[in-house]
Amino acid sequence: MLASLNFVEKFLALPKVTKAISLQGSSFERVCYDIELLSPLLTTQGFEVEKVISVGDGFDSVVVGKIVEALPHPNAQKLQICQVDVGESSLRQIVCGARNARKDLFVAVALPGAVLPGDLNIKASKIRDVDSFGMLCSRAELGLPIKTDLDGDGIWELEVEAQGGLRTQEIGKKLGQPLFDALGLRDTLLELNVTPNRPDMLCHMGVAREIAAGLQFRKLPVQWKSREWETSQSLSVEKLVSQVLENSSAAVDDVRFECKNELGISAFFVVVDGVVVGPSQAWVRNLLESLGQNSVNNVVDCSNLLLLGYGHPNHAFDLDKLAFSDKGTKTLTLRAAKAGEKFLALDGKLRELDATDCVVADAENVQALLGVIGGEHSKVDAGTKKIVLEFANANPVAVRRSSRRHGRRTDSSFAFEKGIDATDRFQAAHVMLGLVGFCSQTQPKIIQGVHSKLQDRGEVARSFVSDAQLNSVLGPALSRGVCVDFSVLTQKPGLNGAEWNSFCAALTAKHTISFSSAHQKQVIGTEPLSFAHQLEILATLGFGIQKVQEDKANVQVPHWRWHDVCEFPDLVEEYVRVLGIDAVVPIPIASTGEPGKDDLHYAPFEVVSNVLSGLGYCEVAGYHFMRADDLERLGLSGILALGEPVALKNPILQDEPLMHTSLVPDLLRKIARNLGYGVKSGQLFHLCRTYQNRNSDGERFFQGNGLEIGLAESLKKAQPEQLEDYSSLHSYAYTREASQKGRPAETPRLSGVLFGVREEKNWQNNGQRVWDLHTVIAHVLSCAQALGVPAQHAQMPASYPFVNALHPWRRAVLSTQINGKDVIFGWVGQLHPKALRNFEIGEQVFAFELNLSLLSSAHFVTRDMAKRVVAPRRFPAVSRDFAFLFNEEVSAASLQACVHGALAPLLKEGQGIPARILGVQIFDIYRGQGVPPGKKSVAFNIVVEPLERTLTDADIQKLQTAVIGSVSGSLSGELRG
Amino acid sequence: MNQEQSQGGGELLKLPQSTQYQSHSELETLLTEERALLLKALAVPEAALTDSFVEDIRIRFNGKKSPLQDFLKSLRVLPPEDRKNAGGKINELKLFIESTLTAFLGAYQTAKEERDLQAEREDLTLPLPTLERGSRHPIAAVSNLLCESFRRMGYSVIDGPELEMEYYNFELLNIPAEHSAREMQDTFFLASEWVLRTQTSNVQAHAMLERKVPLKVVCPGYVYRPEHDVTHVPCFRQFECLVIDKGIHLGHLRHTLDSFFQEVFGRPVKTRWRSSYFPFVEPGAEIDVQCQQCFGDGCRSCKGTGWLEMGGCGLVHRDVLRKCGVDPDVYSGFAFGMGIDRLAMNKFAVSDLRALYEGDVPFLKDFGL
Repeated sequence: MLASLNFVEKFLALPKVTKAISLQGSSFERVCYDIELLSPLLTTQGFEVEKVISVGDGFDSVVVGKIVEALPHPNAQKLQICQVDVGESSLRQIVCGARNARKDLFVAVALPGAVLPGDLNIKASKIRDVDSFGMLCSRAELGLPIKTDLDGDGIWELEVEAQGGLRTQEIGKKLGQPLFDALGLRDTLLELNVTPNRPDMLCHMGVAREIAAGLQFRKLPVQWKSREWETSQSLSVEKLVSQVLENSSAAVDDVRFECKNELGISAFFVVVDGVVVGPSQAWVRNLLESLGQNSVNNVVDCSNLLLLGYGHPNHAFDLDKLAFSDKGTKTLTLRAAKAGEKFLALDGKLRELDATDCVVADAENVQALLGVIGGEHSKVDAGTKKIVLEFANANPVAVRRSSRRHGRRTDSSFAFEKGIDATDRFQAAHVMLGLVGFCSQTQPKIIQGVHSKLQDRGEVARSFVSDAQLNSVLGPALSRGVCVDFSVLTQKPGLNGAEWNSFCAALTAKHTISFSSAHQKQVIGTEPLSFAHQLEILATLGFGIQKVQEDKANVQVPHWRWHDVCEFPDLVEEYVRVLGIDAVVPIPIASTGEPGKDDLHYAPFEVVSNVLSGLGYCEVAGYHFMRADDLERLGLSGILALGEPVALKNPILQDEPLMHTSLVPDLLRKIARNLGYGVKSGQLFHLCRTYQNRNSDGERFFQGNGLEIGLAESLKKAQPEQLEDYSSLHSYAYTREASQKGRPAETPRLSGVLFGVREEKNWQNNGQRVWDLHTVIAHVLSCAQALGVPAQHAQMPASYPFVNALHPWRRAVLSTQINGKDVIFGWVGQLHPKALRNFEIGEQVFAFELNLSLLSSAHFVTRDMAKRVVAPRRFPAVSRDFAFLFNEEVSAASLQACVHGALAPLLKEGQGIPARILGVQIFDIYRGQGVPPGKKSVAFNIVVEPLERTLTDADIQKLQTAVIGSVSGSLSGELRG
Repeated sequence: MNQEQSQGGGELLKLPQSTQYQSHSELETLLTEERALLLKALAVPEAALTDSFVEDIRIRFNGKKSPLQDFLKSLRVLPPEDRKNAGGKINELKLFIESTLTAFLGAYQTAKEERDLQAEREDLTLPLPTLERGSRHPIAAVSNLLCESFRRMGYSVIDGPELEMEYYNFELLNIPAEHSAREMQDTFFLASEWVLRTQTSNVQAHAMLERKVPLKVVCPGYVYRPEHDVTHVPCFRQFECLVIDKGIHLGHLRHTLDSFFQEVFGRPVKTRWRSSYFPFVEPGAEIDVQCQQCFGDGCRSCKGTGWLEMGGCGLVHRDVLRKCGVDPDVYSGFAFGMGIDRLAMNKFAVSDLRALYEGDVPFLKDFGL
């Protein structure tokens, strides 16, 4: 909201300060608004002042002057030499090129030293050999808007009111004064941030109210002003109300006007005759222009003043320009637009409407896009004599959508979107009529107010308002919250007087809050304000106060706050924000004893994240979306390979319309980006949820999933598969709702990638080290280990979804026991070159993905932690190396098993040698010279820890013999060296 | 051992021609000779010494077959009355040899170690190896920091769903159907009545409905809004705090947040409270923290205002309590929400929020563990 303090000053006397200004030797006093008071006041009260603009600053050297003599320039045809009186002891000679420079004209004189917009420095100079001591300015040269029809193309003629000037007798008194001061053009604009609950603050009246409350709190005088136009007319509000409710048509000369309402919104019209359209008065033009608005003509400007000043959007149609619907009858219809209907708006753009736009149309054409913008055809212009003023309460949502769709946000559409004070529309119409009279300097003939005829709902029944006393509560009665509706009445056409009475009473009571002095402590904990002071502030804000007891009052909420002030905390907030919420005293919460308990999954998730970051992985964040073909690019069977993804109706990244089911595609894109920027290797991990369109029973959850983005068919076609750990049944319950059946699956997953080399060659190691499957498996298993989950890796089954995305030899699944069953909880592998090509990656990539829901549930059921804990060593461990020749087929696992098998009987507890095996470590595998083809030499090392005593040579010999015997026997190993 | 040394050694380590003696005086001569030979052997210049030569010296003079042993063995050839005296002399030599050798060996060892160390030259200016060290994401790090400081104040960290019913995301939080937050440009819609949550406040509703009051909880988590520019990404993290108990008021909220910000920034920071509006709180406020780069003077990171917007807060709206099954006449509560990404941006002086989502390895590594 851009607020002009000049406009606010029309409602409330604002606090001011006087500043001494020195100007070309003379000094004078300037009265300015006390912005040091007002700006923080509004900010604390909840309307952050984002910007303060001082209109007229920097123009002190532009003063009012009068041309005393204008003679042709001897050396230039188009120039004149003017002698100008700027209140100095002698006249100033100024050469001017404007044709309208003439004797006795009051002009804007930029004195030497002035800097005009566009960095134009004014200096004393010679123009074609004639001295010139300044410049006579046009409005444009002073940075003011130009209307060619009124302003011409010459210099500013200050005694022309239509140009924003003053009458001759007044301007004559101001010779030599700074121009902006003399014309009252100085203004202070405040850019206010208005929260959505306060649409009443989107007009200057509202700003005045807030400032008044702040002044009241500071015990400064609050002085409201009355405005001429509100009092200078004959038609009372009561009269207008009864007219509107009684009349369904109005007659002007031989034309009958009526209105049809197909939208079911509340609306009324006022027909006015004898309007004299002309340029606006100077103060109106100046005010509108300083707020960045165009001044059009007196009638249109009044309409804008009503909106800016009082927050009431409205529109004036030229009655003569409307088409006849019938012989002698003109009709405006509030209706939905027909699809494809064309509308030429006031901004000169031709728009094509659709059926969701709401419009005001005459018998032939659309004349206004309701609540957004008026039509070019029926606009009020110089020839207009009769006008129809429209006060319709457009639906805020419809206005918002129309204004967005047509790319046109107007003050009117903004006001409707935020919510207008619909209870006050008759009052607004009353002000509007006053304004039109005041601004056209004539008393136009107000024909009458007309209500709109609701289609299919009958007319607004007159019986409801037969009692004149009800007129005052009529407004409120028409309103329910943000948007008023006559339909409140029309929905109950049979309502009789008594029922109507009780309805009004109930409505009033509904907005009365019983308030006590105890509420302050209840809401803010301390009592900085006395009850009386609280009530004073509320009263200034427009609340009705009825004191019931010393410490109790009934507070009636003003109609412009009905939608957001409902209970006592709202009232406390009203004075707390005036006091400054910053003044609330911090008080510690008295301990309730029980310390907090986190949701269980946080701790294990942190553990695995820290393990991975310790192993060299950098954690990433992503957007959680994926493309429809991401899984196919990876080499998976299709869009459903990891369960049905959830589709967004309105994706923002158009190529990523689905919620991801795997974290791998995003990680691969991140790799490609790194490679693109010359980062050739790295490790990344991502811990994040994946999403599936399934509930906890594995049932499809969103029907019509992906319909809007054209994916519904492909999502429907594919068959759900064996998904192992990707099954939605292994998702995680993120709420404690009694049944999880009603929710789509969200599964926490952990995925990592390793790309490029492990270590570049360097001075310590002159060959680069690359990543290998076993290291990556070790990384992943260490995550499980850190959670105390015993896990194994194994061949990836051919049915596993990722089987084709990975290197045929370098892939594995990871499993653990849950409730006695082996459960796969993830996979590891080197990505297939095909998959990498599809993601534009030219380096080797290893990847893994784990279902953390499974892993952490295994973590929670693992109770045998004690078994893994080892006692500290008491005796030195014994180590022996062996080397054997083996056939290629002999696997590491079988060697391990064989050695363990050979030693186990010897180390049996209580019978054999008191020791245990610490490890069987393969430390060398050699093929080549000295080793026959088809064979490999494997060297390994056995470490045994004595448990009760140091081992004897005989013990060790026994163990050694057992190993050699067993390995050479069952594995046909050939002992070397 | 090279040839020359070995020869030199050979000469020095020559055994006496005979170790036999018949008389006390003969023995004395041999002993003197042996003593002299030892001293001569040990007088070899330091540079000529090697491990094996030193060992040879030890064996030659104090080994099992050294002359010293022979002298002892031959003791019995002397007449018994001389034996005691001769044994003393031999012992004297033995002690001399042992102590001299120990001193010599010690000195040799020390000198050798020193020499070896000197030989192991290092170029300190060689590049250091790159360690396989990763990093936590800055946003995760900040999120953990926030959780940690609330845990210390006795809060529980709880979680909630990201795919959410409009009912939980909007209705229960007092956001009516016609509210503009519920338009397509502000919310991601899924099929039927489901959305991607636009705020972590849905967890407030779940907590009140599904857990027992009193509540003292915080909830970090991802939220989604259809925006994508320098300061907005469609998927970002928020942090939510909710307290429901008897007699909770704004003073409590103020105290909680003051101590919270003090923890986060590691020192007392100035906060500024502005009245504001969120549909689910009443009264509502926005909190600014004094800019930690310029301390209020105004700089680029605070856009010249001297303040950083931290988030919104307020007392939980009585209607929200009612809708979530909590009696507002018995309980009251406060809630607070803030964007973690924004805090991380400020903390780490990242100017483009999207950089945090690109996964650039060197950038991420810089955040360390």
